Amino acid sequence: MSGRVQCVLCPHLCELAPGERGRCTVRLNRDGELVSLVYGRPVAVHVDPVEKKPLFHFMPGIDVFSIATAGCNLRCDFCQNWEISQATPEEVSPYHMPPEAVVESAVEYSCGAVAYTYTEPIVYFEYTRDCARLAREAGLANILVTAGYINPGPLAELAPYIDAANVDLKSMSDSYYRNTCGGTLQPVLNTITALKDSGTWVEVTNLVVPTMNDSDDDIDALASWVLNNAGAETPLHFSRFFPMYRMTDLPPTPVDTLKRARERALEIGLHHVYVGNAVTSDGMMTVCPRCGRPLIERHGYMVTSKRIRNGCCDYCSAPVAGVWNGTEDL
Amino acid sequence: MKICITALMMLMSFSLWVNDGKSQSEEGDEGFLSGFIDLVEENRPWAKPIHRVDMDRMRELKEMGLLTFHQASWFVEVDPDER
Repeated sequence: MSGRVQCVLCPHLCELAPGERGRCTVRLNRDGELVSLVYGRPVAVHVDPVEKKPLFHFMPGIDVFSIATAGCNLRCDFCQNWEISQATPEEVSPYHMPPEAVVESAVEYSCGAVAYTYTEPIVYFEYTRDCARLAREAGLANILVTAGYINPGPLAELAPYIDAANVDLKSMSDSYYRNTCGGTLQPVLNTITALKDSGTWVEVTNLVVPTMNDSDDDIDALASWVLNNAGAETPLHFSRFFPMYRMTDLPPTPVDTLKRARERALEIGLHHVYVGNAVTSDGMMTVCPRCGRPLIERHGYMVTSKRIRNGCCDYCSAPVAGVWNGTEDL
Repeated sequence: MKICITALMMLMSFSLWVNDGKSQSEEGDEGFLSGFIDLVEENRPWAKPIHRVDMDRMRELKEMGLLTFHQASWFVEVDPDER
């Protein structure tokens, strides 16, 4: 045998000679065996509100113990977390936090869930999986915040442990994925539908980048795909781009662009469309899909009122899609 | 010979068109020939390249606790005779 291995975790399918590491930079062929360089070595550990993931229809108001290692299997020119996602593991100073410590800390900080986020949890697959198993045993929910560039087999192994996911859908253009992100589109679409089919609560985020993916056609295509393949009840978040990493020559996304995207997506038929990383009058408010009255009001990431009872609108009793964690008003 | 040179020039020109400088910046300042080789051997020039590491340095960092060599899932051994 040659000592060569092929990683089959993600669609890159990196074939590695001994001493080579994959495009994610955190999986290495060590003498004919593939190893993870970042297991138990997070570089980011925070307690965040669940709304920050962003998840607006999953246990609103809970705190989430959020972790990430270095690395990512994409290389988006606009990456908003590039300092850790595009870093190699030897370029950062990680904590030492095995799965047991992650879950113990989540419990200690009274978190309702553990989130695998900030960079790309797919590339620290084994760590994500093992933490998720222990978190589930401890009664905590598991949240995956991902770009979705994973093969079906590994996703099928991980999905049963994942209660909620936010998946980045960067564009409906495969050339955008290839030229700007270093990946392809179809695997991401497959991930969204597979997670939905597995019973995971899914919300989708689109980072709107001026001149790159902000046209009416772009917005319409993306919103239509979500409607037809993930369902009208799937929340869609349009997030504001800020100049970052290798895209510092563009301005931040105009707030009007985000408002327009939201309006178009609602017109297309999605029930819940939000604006992220920008202050708008109603872009972060959950309204009833039937009567239109405000159900969850937020000030930044803080929930200030909730009018959902037993998963239904408090006014007209229409069901509101989501995973709700209590019926009392705030 | 003339046909081979022409084909080579066309492929090198295509390499310049495909590699717009963004992914190349990660590979350093590469000449035409290495770009051509990349194009032939690698059909994803737009993705991050596969790196060879300094294994001694990796072992050192592992001993310091900054890296792990944790067994990964989801890989297969490649038999060169089957390629």
